[in-house]
Amino acid sequence: MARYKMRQSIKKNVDELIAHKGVYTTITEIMSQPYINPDRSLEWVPKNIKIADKGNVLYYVGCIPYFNYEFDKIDSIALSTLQILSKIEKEPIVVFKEEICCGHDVYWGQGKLEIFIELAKKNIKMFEKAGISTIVTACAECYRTFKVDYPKLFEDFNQKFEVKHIIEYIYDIWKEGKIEFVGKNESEEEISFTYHDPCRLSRFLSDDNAITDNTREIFKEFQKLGYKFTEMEHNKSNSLCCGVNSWMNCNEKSKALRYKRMLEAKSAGSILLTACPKCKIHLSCLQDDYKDISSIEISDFSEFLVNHIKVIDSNKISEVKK
Amino acid sequence: MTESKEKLNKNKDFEPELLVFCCNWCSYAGADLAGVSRFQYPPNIRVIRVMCSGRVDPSFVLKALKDGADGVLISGCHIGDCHYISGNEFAKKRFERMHKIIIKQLGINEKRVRLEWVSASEGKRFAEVITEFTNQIKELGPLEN
Repeated sequence: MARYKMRQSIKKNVDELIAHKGVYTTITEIMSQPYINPDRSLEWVPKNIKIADKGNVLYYVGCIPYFNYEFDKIDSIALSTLQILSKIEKEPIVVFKEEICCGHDVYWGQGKLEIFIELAKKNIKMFEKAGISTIVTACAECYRTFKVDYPKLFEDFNQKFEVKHIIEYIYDIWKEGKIEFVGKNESEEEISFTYHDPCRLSRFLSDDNAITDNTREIFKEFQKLGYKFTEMEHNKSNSLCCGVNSWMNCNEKSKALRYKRMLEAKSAGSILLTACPKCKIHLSCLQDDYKDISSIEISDFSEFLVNHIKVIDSNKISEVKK
Repeated sequence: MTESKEKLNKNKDFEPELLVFCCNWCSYAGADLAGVSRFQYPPNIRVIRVMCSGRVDPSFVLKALKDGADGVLISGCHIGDCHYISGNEFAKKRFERMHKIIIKQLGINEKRVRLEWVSASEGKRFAEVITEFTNQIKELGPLEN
């Protein structure tokens, strides 16, 4: 927002500078209008998974269906997150067909507070109507918006709804002993992987938030399965940015920053994990331009974990306790 | 009942505001010809001239819808006649993607955004397309419904 104000003093029309010519932020602004009821495609939901309109646990997809317009293979984040959730939860997961944006991009990227508040009101109304108690999201930006920014406007938001990022969710369930990580790496060599901390999951959260440490704890467990976790040079709250948060703008400087990040990733491992769809989009976008970094496999946290989670039967747990 | 009646009456009096992107080489000349030949068409449209229909970015369409346009029409040369060889093919590809992924998922009626080919000699057709489009939007009513 500060950057936006700064730009405003230099150039008059700031909207020209937004990445992708402002397509995605305009979508957000349209969604804030009261007469718009999105009709999102649920084609990515596999047939064997049941979803519901009302229930306890909501999977908040975010803007992923709209990203399909320009980016490929983004659906797989939503798909794998839903697969994880439906594996763990017994009841069908709630996925809204008329879900709207959380408003992160207009709040951070453009400082349009009125639109942000409209979106927040619309969102809360929708959650209350469906009787949601837990919101799970795979998007770092949605998480931060629900966790930090909404309670600033609506004080009782955090009492009404429990907001969890998929990392936090898996960590909590794992600590309760309900799941275990399986799926040993079959090749003899260890596969080294590294993790790119999205800014919204590290330095943009309050200090008492333990997500960065929890993530590493999960990764330590993967050591047993033949995956070796290595840190990049800049990590946790000092991690480098992907360059284009909230569709600010994509120029040579942000590309240089991304390139630097990819070189760090290359020296750390062959798989790069991240937990934010936008980080994934932007980092993999650069791979088309530079051949030396195109060997790194970039995947989302949920995409990496989806085949490694096994639910422990509740009968077994009670036996162990006896 | 009264409400729906009121709505109907409202729709009858409703004059839509439509935005038309015309390419410089065919559709704009076609619109010009419609004017010169004195073909009648509703005065609800505002024409924006672009050099090619391929110039029309989805963000233009979205911004128009956001700022109160009730419908957007993109008009260019017939396939194969593009002044820039393949600009309209590009426009078509991009338009279909936008239609399916953005407009439909936003819950906006797909009829509100339309792609048409009008050549420089088709003044009559231009008038017909505009009349048909305006009537269609009149039936749908304002976007802010």
